Amino acid sequence: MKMPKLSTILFYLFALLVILPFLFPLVWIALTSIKTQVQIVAVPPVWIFEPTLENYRRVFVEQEFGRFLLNSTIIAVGSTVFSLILGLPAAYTISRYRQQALGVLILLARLMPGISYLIPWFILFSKLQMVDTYTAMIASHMLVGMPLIVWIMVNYFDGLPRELEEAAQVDGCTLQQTFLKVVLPLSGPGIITASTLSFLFSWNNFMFALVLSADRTKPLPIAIYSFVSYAEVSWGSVMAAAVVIIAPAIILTMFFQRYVIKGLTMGAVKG
Amino acid sequence: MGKVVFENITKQFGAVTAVNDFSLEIADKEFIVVVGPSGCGKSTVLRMVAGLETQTSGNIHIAGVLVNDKPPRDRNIAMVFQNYALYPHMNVYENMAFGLTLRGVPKGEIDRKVKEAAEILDIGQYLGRKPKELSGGQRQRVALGRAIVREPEVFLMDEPLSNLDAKLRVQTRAEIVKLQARLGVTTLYVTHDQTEAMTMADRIVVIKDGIIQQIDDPQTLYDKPANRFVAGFIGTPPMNFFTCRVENRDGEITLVAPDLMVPLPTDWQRTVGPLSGQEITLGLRPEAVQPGEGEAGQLRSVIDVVEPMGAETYLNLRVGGQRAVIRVAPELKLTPDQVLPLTLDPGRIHLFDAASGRALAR
Repeated sequence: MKMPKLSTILFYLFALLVILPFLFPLVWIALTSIKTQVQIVAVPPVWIFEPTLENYRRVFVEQEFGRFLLNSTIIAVGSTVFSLILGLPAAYTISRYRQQALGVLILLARLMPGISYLIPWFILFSKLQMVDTYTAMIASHMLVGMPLIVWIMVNYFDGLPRELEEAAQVDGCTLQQTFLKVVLPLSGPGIITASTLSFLFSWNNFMFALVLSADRTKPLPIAIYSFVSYAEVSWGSVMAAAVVIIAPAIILTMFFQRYVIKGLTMGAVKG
Repeated sequence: MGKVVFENITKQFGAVTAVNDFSLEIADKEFIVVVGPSGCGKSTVLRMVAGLETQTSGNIHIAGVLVNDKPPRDRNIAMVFQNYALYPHMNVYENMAFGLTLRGVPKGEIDRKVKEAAEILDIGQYLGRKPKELSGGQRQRVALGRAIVREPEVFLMDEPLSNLDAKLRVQTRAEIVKLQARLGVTTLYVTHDQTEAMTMADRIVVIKDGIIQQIDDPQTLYDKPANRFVAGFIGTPPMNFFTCRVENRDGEITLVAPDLMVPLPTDWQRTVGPLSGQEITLGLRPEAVQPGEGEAGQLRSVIDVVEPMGAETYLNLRVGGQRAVIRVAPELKLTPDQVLPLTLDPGRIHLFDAASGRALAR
């Protein structure tokens, strides 16, 4: 067997050094989620132990985590889908008809700190009796999701050769048909990138949900917060819940990372 | 009836006038090539016919219908793009069928037309492939096929050969000419390549800075260019120009420049006579000048470079301070820095106004 080169070994050692601080908390969370309360608080930490699924049982059976998971999914998917429906045509218009003002306006909405919207929103949604509805949650998450989708897609559309759309028009397409039959089918990678990022934002969002949701629409990040009670912090349950939140995000990112990286660097190096 | 008529078309992009007062009548079944240097407005002319650009003023009629306000889909035209613009997500068959599907043509008829076109273009075996699995030449054929199946009033072609290698370009050039003659569809073809224009066109429109310089059949364009620009643009190697002074030598009108003396034939005397003492531009095609000493006119040249092409040889020369390229028989043994006397064919003299570049008539 050939020995790996010294430079290769050094490279991986260095890589490990860089990754470790990021990876360690994740590993800690995952390990803690399968420990008992006694093992969790043991000093020094226990590394070898018999794993238990008790924390997960408590999270799902006693705390109805399934419902929060469903809420999070409805809100994240809903806000992403509606952001796509509104954002894709908007991005196309900005890209092709030089609607820079519209683009800047959308970006501005995103640049404002999200927290500054919360009080007006709360008043607005209260008067409309829409607090703790999926509509309010989805609408609020679209504030971030849509600008994200618009700006990634403007870049993507800018990179599509215009001749294709011109060929489609000459072939007999209306503007709408050009968009639906030629532009969209070619935009898969861009749409995947934009949707993934929009989904992840909504999935991870805590602040909007804290104010605008209550029992009916409570998503995962808020649910996990309720484990921290006056009486005790049930670390095992918190960690199990954290794994439930993190896992879909990691799986999604791993699955689409190729597109996401391509999408994020698309504006930088136009190929 | 695929007649195309341009009436005083002007197109401005902001302050830039891309096309200026363009008027042209293209007859049914005619093959028109619009040629000019890059940025001269020729593609804009094509795109206005397609409806991809809207003219600032003027009218365009296609097959007798005023199309100024009609979108591309209602103009019954088909276009071949320089980069082919095939839909990457559709296979060859779907690419060709797309326009027909949009128009609601029955499936059976689409199938028949696509297969017919595929046969003409010899791409039948590629119908299931995606564009990226095809070579440049094959993509070119699919682009042509997509235009053919539509059976439009007019073909518009925007430099369709410029992405092909030299050999394939010559081959495809002939095929397009054959195809156009067979289908009898009016064709407007844009190129910057004067060879393509000369070999393909029924009539050529030479355009520069958005203004039509001359419209004529290829041979007339070559023999009787309207101005110095057309004379220099059409033909390879291009026409040679010499700035000369007109002198009246004992009643004989003569053009004089350093190392150059050309007594004009009598048919020129009437036009050029009054210009005595002024400057004028003499134009000579590379084949109008030959080595040797003659009575018609004398040029004394020094050879710069000898370029053997096989069937002929190009000589880069200096006549006085002015440069020229001429075409000679390959048998002549010539070397750089050699002094070479030249004689010219007086019947093939072109004269241009020195200031405006306008061709002078005999």
